[in-house]
Amino acid sequence: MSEPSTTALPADRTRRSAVRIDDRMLSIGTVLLLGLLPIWIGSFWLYSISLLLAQGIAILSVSFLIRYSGEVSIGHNFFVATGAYTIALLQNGPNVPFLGGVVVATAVSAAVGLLFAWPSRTLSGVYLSVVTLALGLCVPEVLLYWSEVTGGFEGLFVESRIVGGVASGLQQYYVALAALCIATFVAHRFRGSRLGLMILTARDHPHAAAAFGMTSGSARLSAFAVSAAIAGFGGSILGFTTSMVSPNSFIFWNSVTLLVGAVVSLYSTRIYGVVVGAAFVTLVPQLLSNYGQFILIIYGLALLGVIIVFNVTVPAIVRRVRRRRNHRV
Amino acid sequence: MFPLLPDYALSAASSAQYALDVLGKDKCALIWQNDELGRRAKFGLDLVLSSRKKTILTDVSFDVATTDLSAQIQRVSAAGAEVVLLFGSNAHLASALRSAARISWKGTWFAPFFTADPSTYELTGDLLDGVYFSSWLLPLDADRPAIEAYRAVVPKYYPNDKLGVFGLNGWTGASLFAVAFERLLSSGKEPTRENLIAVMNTIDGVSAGAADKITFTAGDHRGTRQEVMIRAEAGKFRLVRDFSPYPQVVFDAVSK
Amino acid sequence: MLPVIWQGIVTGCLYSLGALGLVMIFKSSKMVNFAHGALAGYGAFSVHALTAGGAGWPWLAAVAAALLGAIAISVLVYGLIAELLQRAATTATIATLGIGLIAQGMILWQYGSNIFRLDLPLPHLSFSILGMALTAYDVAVLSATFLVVVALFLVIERTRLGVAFRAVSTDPFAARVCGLSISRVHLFSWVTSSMLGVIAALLIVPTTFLSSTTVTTFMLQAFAAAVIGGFDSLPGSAIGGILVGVSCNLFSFYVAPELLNTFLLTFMLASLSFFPGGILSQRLGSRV
Repeated sequence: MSEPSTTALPADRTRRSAVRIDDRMLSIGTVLLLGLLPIWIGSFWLYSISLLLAQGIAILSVSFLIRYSGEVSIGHNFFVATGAYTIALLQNGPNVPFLGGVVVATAVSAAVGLLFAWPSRTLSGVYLSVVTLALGLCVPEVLLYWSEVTGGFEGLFVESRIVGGVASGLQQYYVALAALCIATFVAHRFRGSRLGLMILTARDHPHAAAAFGMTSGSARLSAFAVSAAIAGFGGSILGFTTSMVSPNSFIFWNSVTLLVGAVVSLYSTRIYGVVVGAAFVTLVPQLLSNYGQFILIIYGLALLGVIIVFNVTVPAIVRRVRRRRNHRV
Repeated sequence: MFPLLPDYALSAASSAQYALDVLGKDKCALIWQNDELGRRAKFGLDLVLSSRKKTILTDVSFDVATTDLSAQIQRVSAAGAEVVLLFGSNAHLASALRSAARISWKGTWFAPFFTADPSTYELTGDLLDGVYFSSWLLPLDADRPAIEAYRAVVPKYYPNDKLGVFGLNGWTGASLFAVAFERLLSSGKEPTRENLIAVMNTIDGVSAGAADKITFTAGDHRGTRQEVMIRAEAGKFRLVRDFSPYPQVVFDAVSK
Repeated sequence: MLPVIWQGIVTGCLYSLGALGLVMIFKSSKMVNFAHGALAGYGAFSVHALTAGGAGWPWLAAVAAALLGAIAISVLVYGLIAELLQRAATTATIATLGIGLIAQGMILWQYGSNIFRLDLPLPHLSFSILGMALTAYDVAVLSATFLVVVALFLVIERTRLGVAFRAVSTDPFAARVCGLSISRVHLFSWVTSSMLGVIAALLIVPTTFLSSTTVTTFMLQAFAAAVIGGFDSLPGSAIGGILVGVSCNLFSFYVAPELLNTFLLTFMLASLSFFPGGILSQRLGSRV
């Protein structure tokens, strides 16, 4: 949370390795389980879980941002929409194939993210958070204002088959699963990469990082751009799994959902964590579809509760345990 | 499908016709919700005005989620509008009336039929007085027996439901079905789907519920063909003009 | 054009009131309270429930009760997040988003998604000066804003608590070394902010109507005002509110009312690029 387990400092190898195997086993187990799941479930759940997986990528992008720059975004629906509409427009216009569309969508989102974060690069994080609020709110109005391009309320159709002969439901499912695997893999490995280490150093030890030429401003810009790229990637997959894009799927509320998912997943970059967060925000509205107000309250309690438990309660317990142990010694 | 709910293009056209012919005002502006509701109203208003060699003075749209319409009101006021047609929900109507009161703009308002509802008065207070509604349903306070029956029955069986235009809408649809079904039974034919459709297609100038002159033929399902004009006065909705046909150009233009 | 600007100034006063509440909290606690709008909306709903909505209290009594309620809630909220504040502003910010969602959910739960009318007890008055219409409502907004700003100024400049508030907002560490109670100052700013929020909500609702989203929607403009004026400047945010009010009105009138949020986004980004310290700041880039 405020002190994510990812730090720029080299970790204690001996203690970490045991934990690491557990993490890896859990990840592999999750992927295997998800891979076999279509054997047992019907088409409704297949579709729901496809959406959940695509949503997971977007949740990952929010977690990534919080982890690497300490910024909260409530405007990531903008980048998800950028990715989704980019792929839809590329398909409907120049008829670009799916994979090409995904690559372009990811790149465009990264560029838009960079552009957006640029003015606040030297300011404190609160400014960025507040401006993301406006970013999140303006998505539907922009899409509706330029209806000739975006298809207005009805939106645009997205081709949901890549290869012939396989049911589109299954294709949507496995594409979403593969995409989530790729996204979590990249996000997780990012920590060890040169850029990742620089960003983390700039976050924790700004002066040291500045000596390497990474100011905290440019570190924040990089983190934001990567996060926007992940969100755009997720958006293009979301467009594929829903086989259409329309303004209603990218309202401000979706950003709130993404943040709740990220917090519930404890900003995890592991696939099992992301799936838990995504499952929470997918299942709660489905179970409580007739009680809209309770969804708000449950989401609010989840944000508040998780934050307080992991920032106040857990550290307090840890402190007490440590103190007791010291006494005994 | 035997729809009763008329295309909003028709209501908008009827409103404009009333403003031009009865009220003698021709500077019409339109404030429309940027979805199907508003777009149809704009289509109808455009058509009826151009058929009379006139144009819309100005038109401004707004999004469903908008709560503050003061910018839109500023625009129609600056354009010198005498009449404003507002096609949106009763919340938007309330918001628009408030904005107009704030800048002391005084003109004539027309709003869609479903806003001629007691709940609108709850939102606007006496600001609603003087607003016109072109409606395919008689006002809720009318003394036609079918509407009196609606006012009597709903509190009896559904004490928690408020009387309103939406209820009257459903009541009218059900009344039409009852008329058709009675005809079918008295004709002695089997009550099958085909026979019911055949009977529905013979409905000609029937009055049912709060609507009037409902007509269906095999190739033409524009059931509602006439509207009344309602005016809000001192907390009530009063009938100011009886059923009168839609402007022909617009009626011809809406799909059968 | 003059009436458009005039209306913008009146609405801008409301944005200023909203922004002042946000800035009060930011100055002392260095965090953004995203629950500000929802909690203020909750206050407005309480006033409605206590007056026309059922209980039938006199308006002033209902407002007093709502203000007391807002104070109690703000103390509770501060109690919840006080410990988070010592760690990182980011987590406290997320926590306020959670509180905002809960408040919004409570509004929906208690009052449903219906919309209500909640007017100020004012006569239907309007007169015209220089071709601009002036209503009793406009006068009420202008005078309420004026009174609030003067009162706030007096409290901050003349009282012990105000001095402590200024000390904490300039240098929290030095203030603590001098023996000032940080949490008392925090509480002061949260309580003041919540009262400012309820006042702003009661003044904004009469322009449209009361629904579960009216006040939160309006708070976007207040956020924009705080960004443009500088989150650490009370006078800046007051002026920022009026700037936002006027420019939004001009934009809606001359360009496109449907793109208001986009305009605010662009305005904020432009302001951050050209006036990173807020419009009143000379110290460029000092907001890190």
